[in-house]
Amino acid sequence: MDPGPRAGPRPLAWFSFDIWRDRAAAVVQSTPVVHARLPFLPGSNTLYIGIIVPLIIAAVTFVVFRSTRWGYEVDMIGGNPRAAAFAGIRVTRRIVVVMLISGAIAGLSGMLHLAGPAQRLNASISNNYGLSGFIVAALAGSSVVGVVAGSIFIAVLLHAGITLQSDGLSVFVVAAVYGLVLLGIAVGEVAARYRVVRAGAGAVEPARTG
Amino acid sequence: MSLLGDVLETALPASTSVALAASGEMLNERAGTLNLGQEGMLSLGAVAAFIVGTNVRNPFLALAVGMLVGAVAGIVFATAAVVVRANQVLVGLALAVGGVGLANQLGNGRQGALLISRFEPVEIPVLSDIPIVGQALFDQDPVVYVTFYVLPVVLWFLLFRTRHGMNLRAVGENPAAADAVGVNVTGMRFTYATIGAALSGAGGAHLVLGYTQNWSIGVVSGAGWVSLAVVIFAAWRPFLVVLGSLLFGAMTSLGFVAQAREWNVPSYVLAMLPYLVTLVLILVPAGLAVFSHRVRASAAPGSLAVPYFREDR
Repeated sequence: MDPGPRAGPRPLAWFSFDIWRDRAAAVVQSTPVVHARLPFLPGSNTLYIGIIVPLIIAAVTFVVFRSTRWGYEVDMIGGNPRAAAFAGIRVTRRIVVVMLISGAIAGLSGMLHLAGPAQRLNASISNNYGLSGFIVAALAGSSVVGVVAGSIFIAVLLHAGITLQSDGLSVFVVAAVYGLVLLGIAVGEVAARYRVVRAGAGAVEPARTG
Repeated sequence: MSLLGDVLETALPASTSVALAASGEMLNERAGTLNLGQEGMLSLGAVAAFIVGTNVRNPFLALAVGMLVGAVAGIVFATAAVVVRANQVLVGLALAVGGVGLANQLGNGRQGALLISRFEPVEIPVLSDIPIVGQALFDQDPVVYVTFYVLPVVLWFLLFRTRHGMNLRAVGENPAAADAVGVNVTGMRFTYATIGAALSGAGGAHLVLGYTQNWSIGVVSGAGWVSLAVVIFAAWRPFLVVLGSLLFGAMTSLGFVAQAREWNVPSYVLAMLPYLVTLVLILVPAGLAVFSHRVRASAAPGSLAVPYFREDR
């Protein structure tokens, strides 16, 4: 889903087109290959060791929200910030810390991508990954397992697109299909909240749990 | 010409698409639906207007088709988000990603095609003789005039001076209460999600027909996301929405002016400027609320992005 030459994060464009541009090679729109490289996973020559990091983060997040006081407090703020404030939780402080952590994780993912598959910094390096992350989070609700499963699902979807491209399908069709699948998921999610009840046993009722 | 005049002259056409999209988004957010798909609807409107504009010599027809395509996208959104009551964030993002993809696919083979219908400036006599800003404000194309001088007045009157507008705002603030007095919540939300999207489609159309006057992949380049930010900064008020968009346009235009006047600033920094300013502006309402208790930190409609289930009442 390359958004084209005019799009892309501006600071990144500035660095990769101008300040850090690869002046030795004829490659205009990116930096030289970075020297910091991640090793491959043992026994693999396609998977970088970086793939372990999100799994570790997911596991830690799971434990933090399941069995620490801090995680419980953050959960509570999400549920009802006023109630949390009345219970004596420092709401603003918690929110700021959570945002710092989430920003740090996003930054880490950028580093893993650069030192792994990307190798050069250019303006389209993020390839809408941030937007996809947003989509995964919305899909998963607040389930850590859902985030891992959702990320793999979206990654498969995007990469199926790359494979299909060699079959003559354009990158834009892939994006359009991606949107269509998402729309289907959003609608399907609602349909999944309904149960089929045998006729006579009462009206069909939505079983919404929030 | 003066610096202000120079900046404003490009700022108006440059920000018309943002102003139209933000006005539309403001309208449907007032009714309680959050449509994050602005980028997709602008792209679809732009490409539809471009395809029509390369074949037919009538910019108004191209604009109408752009609006129509936007409205169709809005109906898709409204069906999923209002009738089915799916997650509005997901549906919006689906429209954003899918709409951009579909638009690029449709326009891909047509890049560089000659646009035969364009919006040309129409000078308004007397007013355009005002020193400094007259030429910039009153020698523009008709869509610019409608967007900046007519639309906000109409929307303000509709929202704050009619019973229908009050019902519309009630649906956004407290749909259960509106429902109780007999307002059709689903109908209201569906209608305004569609109208809002049609305005975004018009924005995309003007971007191509009046501002860039050609089409290339990524021509919208973030205007849809900016329009979402503008609505927040403008606190869901019609006049501020247009002004906020204009400020974004002024920053874009300042970049061109700086290049023309050979200021010694890297062009990438200038290209960043509109987005930086948007980022700062979005903090303004919250910042004001710290100093004055009379300013609300967020003026968001109470039920924004919350689907309405009558049985939950």
